[in-house]
Amino acid sequence: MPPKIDKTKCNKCGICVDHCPEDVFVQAEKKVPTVKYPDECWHCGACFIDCKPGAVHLELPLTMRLIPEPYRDKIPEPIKEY
Amino acid sequence: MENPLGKTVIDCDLLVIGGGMAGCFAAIRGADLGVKTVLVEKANPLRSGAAATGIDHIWAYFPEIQGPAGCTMDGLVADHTEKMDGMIHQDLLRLIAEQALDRILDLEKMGVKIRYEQSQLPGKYILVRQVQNVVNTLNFDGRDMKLNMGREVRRRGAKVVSRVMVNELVVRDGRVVGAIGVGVRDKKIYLFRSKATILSTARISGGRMFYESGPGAGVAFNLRWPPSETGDGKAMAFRAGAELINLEFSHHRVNFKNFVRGGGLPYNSYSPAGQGINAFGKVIMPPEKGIFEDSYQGIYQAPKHRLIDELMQGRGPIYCDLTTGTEEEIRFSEWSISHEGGGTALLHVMKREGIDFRKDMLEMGPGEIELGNFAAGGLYVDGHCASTIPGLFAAGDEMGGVPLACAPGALVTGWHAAERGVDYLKKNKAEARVTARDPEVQAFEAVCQTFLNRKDGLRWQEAQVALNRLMNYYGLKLKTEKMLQRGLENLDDLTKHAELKAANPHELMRCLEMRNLLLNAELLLRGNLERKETRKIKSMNIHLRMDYPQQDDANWKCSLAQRLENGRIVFAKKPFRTI
Repeated sequence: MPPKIDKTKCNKCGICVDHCPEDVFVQAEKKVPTVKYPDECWHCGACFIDCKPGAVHLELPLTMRLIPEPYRDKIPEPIKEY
Repeated sequence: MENPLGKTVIDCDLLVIGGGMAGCFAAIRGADLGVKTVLVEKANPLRSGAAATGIDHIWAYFPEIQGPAGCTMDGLVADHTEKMDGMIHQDLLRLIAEQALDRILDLEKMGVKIRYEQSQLPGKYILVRQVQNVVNTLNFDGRDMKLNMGREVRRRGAKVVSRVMVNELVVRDGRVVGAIGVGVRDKKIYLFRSKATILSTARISGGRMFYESGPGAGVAFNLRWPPSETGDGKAMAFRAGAELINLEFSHHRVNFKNFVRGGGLPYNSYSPAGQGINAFGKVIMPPEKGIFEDSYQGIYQAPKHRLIDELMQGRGPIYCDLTTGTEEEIRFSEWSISHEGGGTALLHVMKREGIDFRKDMLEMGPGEIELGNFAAGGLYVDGHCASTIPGLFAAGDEMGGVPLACAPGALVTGWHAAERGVDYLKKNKAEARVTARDPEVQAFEAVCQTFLNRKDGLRWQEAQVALNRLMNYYGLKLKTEKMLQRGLENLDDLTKHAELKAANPHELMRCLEMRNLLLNAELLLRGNLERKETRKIKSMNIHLRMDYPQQDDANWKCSLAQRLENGRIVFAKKPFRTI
């Protein structure tokens, strides 16, 4: 579920916490923020756009998958025994 | 009261509630005019509202471009009015059309890029067609404009109060003299004492009212409009006695299937390459290439949107297809999409998943229900943004009756509401004595405490899903007298049993949002019941009554207003003003 924070890249500046329009993050003092309310993400992108070290990315939940056409994989056809 | 919540009192001349585009421009103008201005926002004005992560389009009248092409200001207003079948307050539309370019130039002064070297047009603008049948919509670098606007509010001297949800207005002697809210992080009660107040909390996000994913989908806020838009302004204005109009209207739109953000499809941000095709590869919406040619400055006849019909007639799935575009066209679209709210997120996810508009199509489908755009529900205001209660003004999508005012509507009416608010507060010197011990403040604190102290209450999400299911069933496609009556009974039952709990101030915000949504749902259903006709704007249904399938212009070519008087809803008809 979105967003995800790469702890190795995060500089703990808190800008994602400060800017998030849906208030999904919480941050303990001088700690890497955590995504406390992932279900309430609007997927607007403010967190990753404004993250200077590029530590945040969005992952879409199953209900929001972008599925390209043409579809990448081959779905096997059933064998008809009649 | 046990464990009273802390209280903060903030005094100002002009109070602006809601810090989106309209609210920021109201606060900027208020501060400019030298009055003590406070902007209060549930989130942070730097990234809040419908334009949180940008808009790539904004319509206006560009005299040096539209003039030579044969389109006058009157012509533009007439065209927009005609497209709305006359269901629009023309004085406000005219105001927006006249001042939109000035406000866009204000954005430029704040550091937003709006001119492009490659443009052959006067002013170096890139113009496309969006709302009207005229190529008068600026395509621009709007992704970060809320950062510019939010910083400008502070730079001009207005005070910004972030993370406070205002929920009630304070009325004394029939005038609005302040507002009450709660900190969604600090859990404090905030009392604002003001001489004039502007509401700019936007439309109601259709997805918080109607959501068609059904049970089990959870409540992921996969919505086109901000999930935080829960009709807070409309609810508090109604409770204060203001008149609201058009709340019975709604309409469908088309989005990417699954991921609903990222601009209009398959045009707008996806032009010039974007086209709509059906399952058999037939082009059902041809690309709007002509309007991108340098020589093109004419009046454009938009093709009719028939995408849903395509599905109903068995020719789905339907796709947004850019694959036939040139590299230059696709790059242009990618630039445009990256500035349209959520478009950056769309491109971000596409890149991570290896999806590319050059070879891949994305599926379109029925999008969320709109309670703005063509629906335009909100406060009834006069031609100068004044509501029916003295001291209370509305701007942007908080206003009712100006369909497709869009971004220029927000900027212009925010600015204008501030000017009128300042006029008002300079003329009205009557002092109102309001303190943190007054009954309204106590009553609001009690509401908050009820949610916070309810240990065995329900999660707000349960009420959200129940409301969505109720509204989908009774309030959308199957509307009759009996169904709507039954819907109201269901809603009454839901409201009485939605005993929600909040473990912290963030959840308190969600509980208060649900309370506002439930009230707005009642107004929506009651409006639906009262409007005994089916209403279309052109071919688009904005109100479909199965038992009254005909449009009844003789009785209903007007707005239905609802206001609260002595605990009862009072209906009134409001004609659309023409100029």
